[in-house]
Amino acid sequence: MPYCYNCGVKLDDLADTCPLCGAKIPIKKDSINKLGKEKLDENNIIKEDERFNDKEIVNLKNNKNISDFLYPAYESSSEKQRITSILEIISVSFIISILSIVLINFILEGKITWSKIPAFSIFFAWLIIASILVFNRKIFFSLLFIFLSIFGYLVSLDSLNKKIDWSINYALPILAFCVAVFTILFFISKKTKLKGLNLFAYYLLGGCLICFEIDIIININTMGHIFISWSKYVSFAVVPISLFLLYIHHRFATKLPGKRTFRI
Amino acid sequence: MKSFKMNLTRKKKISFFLAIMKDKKLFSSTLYKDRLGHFYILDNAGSIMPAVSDTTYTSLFCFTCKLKEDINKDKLQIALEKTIKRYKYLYCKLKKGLFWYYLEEIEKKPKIEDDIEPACTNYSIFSSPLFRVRAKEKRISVEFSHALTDGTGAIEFLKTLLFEYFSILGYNLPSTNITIASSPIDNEEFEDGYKKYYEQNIPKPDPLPIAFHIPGKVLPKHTYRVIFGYCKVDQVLKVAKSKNLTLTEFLSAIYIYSLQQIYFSIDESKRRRYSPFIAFETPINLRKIHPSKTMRNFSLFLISRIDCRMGRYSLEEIFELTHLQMQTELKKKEHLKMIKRNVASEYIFALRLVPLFLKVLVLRSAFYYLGDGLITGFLSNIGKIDLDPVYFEYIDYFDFIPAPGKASKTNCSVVSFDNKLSIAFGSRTEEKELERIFFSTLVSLGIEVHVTIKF
Repeated sequence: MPYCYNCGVKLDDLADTCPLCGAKIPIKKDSINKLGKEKLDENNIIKEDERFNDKEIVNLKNNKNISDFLYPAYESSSEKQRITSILEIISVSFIISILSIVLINFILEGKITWSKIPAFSIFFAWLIIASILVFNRKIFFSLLFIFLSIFGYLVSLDSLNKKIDWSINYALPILAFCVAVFTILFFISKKTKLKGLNLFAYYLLGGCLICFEIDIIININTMGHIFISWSKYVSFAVVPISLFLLYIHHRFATKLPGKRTFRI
Repeated sequence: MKSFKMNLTRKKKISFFLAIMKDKKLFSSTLYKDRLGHFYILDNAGSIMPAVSDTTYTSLFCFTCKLKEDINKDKLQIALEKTIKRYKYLYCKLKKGLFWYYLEEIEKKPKIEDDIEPACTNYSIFSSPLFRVRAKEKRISVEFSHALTDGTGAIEFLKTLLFEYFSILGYNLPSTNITIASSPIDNEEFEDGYKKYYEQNIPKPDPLPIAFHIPGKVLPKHTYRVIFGYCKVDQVLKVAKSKNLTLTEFLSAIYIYSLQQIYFSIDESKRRRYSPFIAFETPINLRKIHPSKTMRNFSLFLISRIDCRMGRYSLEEIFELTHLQMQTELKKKEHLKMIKRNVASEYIFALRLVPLFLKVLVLRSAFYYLGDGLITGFLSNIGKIDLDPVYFEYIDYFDFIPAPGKASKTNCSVVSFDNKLSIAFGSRTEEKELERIFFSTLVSLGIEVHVTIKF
């Protein structure tokens, strides 16, 4: 293999000049490329390389301390552990809020009066958040628990004057229907592959159904029979808009830009 | 593994909870879904690349593998199709959104191209997939854009491709350290490691001054000169060990020494036009320090620098300085500061709201002052290709060509396989003085170097 007398480097067999300094190289025909034929003891090479790599890795591992992270062990913790943590934080903050409100009420008035309402509200809000976290991804159980929590909350509010007025006749059927509509809408959104204006239309229609139901429940309780009053006017506005949105979606869904274009 | 509860202090629990509330994607995944299907966002390092790339400075880097027998292109095509199915998150096209670039998977089958043009150039980041596979005679080259992945991701892809190719040829080779095409995809493979390890409440590193840049005429558009130097790994390691240096430190020090020689070769009256700071970057693979399986970019740079106002440094002094500076920069806390500097702006809502075309304008002008202009050059050592020794029978060597640099016109990449160390200098200048000093210095230290050139 030819050498460059100027740079001292080996060159290609057929090189006539050095690619580094441009010096002319006399060509020797018998020069052969030995690079491909040279093999060294493999164990020796591996040891040398391991020395190089291991030194770096050991240094790095010594410096590593997982508690240095702002969000330590996030990746190493299980989902259950993360949820427990979040639940713990929420529980503590809610308990502090309830205690503060009750204490302020007691200091100001010498007895617990108005603080019952915010305390109940915070407690049931905690129940709802806890149900979402505890029944993580079990949407049916979450909704059931949310329904029971809200109903419990409404009954509690109703019973503040020590008798049940409206919670059974009004709140229970309206709430049950709302939860049922939201459950159906949730499953529709989950099953829909091409999401867009169609979902908005479904939610509008869901809202319209809820209006009908509220109208009917109020009329049954006040007039004693099924009667549709104001909700039909809601439907006159909502149904055409929903149909228009569904038309737009199914006509242009694949041509309209997605979230990817507008992601901030 | 310690329990989560034990590791968390109350304050950190609150921060953790607030972070989840703030951004559910905070912790990494680049995969997003919308009604048209799924798409990927660019990782933190990759997001700047489309803005500062063009058809000459392509952001492409290249890994080449030279086999011991001629390539069967039809079988390589089948192997590529099989490999792409496994790495479909790499076979993507760059798209423009209103605020950010994003990646869309490509349905069309990839094709092996002929290896006829110069490496890493003459490529448009917007009209092509973000990588290309080329083959000629005994050589297989994979070129990846830095918008997509870094050297580690590219080499993992190439190893899979080689394994599948050899399998199709009927060779029963071991799959040690190789991700085979039939293995399941882990979601961590397309996470943004920078965001995963981003910490909000730490300071940014100190700003760096503009660095010295090699003078000289720039090569014509779409040309990129690559000079390869081949050495024996054991020879280089023996010399490096005698100086108590790692291979990367040793080669970086010689590079800095070569840059210093160029600086002092400039006529004294003209020298004052140039910055006296030689700042040299050495990329490190963060996956070894901050555990991640990501195939997106996840590397940072260690900076070694000398101040030429202090006069000439001897080679021995540079060896010592480089070793000390690199060991300091290797500390984990230093990386976290750098990650903080790079990622923090992505969390500023007002900046996120700036339309993409304005972001591109700002990035193009700021890139010199915040990135490219702060370094004189870099040496990227991907290390040893950890294939089973059985592969030595079939593969001759690997080459690693760096991406063309705008301000740092000459850069260097290093890869080793078997006992062969390949040092590739990619340059956009007509001058070859840097390469000459570098290789001559290696020779003067008793290391045999075989030099060859490719345009």
